[in-house]
Amino acid sequence: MSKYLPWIKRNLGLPLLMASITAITLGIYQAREATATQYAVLEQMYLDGTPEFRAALAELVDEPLSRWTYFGLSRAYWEETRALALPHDVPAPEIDSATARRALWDTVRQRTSRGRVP
Amino acid sequence: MSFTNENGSGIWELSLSQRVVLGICLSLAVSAAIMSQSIDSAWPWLALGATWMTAAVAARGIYTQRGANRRLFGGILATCAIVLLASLLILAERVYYTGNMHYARWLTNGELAAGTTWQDLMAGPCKGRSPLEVNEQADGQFLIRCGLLWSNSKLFLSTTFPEEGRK
Repeated sequence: MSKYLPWIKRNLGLPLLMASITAITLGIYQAREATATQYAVLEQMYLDGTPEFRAALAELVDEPLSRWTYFGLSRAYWEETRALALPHDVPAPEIDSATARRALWDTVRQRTSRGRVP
Repeated sequence: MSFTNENGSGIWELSLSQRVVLGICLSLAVSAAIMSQSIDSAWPWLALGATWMTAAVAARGIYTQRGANRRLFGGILATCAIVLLASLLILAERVYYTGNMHYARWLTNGELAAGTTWQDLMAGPCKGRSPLEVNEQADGQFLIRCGLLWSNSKLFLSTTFPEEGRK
């Protein structure tokens, strides 16, 4: 292995550094909170999703969602509902993430028995 | 076979530009894997990077080797060039497809038979191919595509929206 190490350093050092910088940058970006539009898309997915998908989203109620979680939920929605497309035609809400998050969780609470107001 | 050129550096050495292109391929692979949260999305970019690296080594080999070795490297370079050109065409098709309301009919697999349902598609030609996309064309027909890249996808035209039978 030590025989090839200088070659790896010389030829793959720069490509691996570029890939690492990309991974770190994307990791930081994805760890940020979901945007208002993504919350609105999730709300639409919740209304249109399978009971399993709704249950998975209800588990997260009241938590701020990261973009990681958003993409994970999008994949789950895609696979479970076999949707023709993600509801990306949701108009961009002219509100901030916190307001969009509250709107999403209000919808979820209204639909779940534990959060239903008597 | 001597893998050393007249400058004393081996043919396995990559130039700066070749390393940068390889870095771009690796970065795209990492981005695809992170965004989709699946390593599967990274494979096409990794394959592209490997092909590029092979082409770079073969190109240098042509100038440093003679006889049979030179022909061997020529063959490898030609193969890599074909693969890279095919990759470019496949990517160009994806760009051409996206948002195009006048998609060329000859690139499709024909029209769907009347009454074909969503389940028929998923159990038949679209089995194992995802994502499934539907785009309306300028003539009112629907273009149904299963599979991201043209090389591994099926495209059909349909006069009706294939919602019937949807889960």
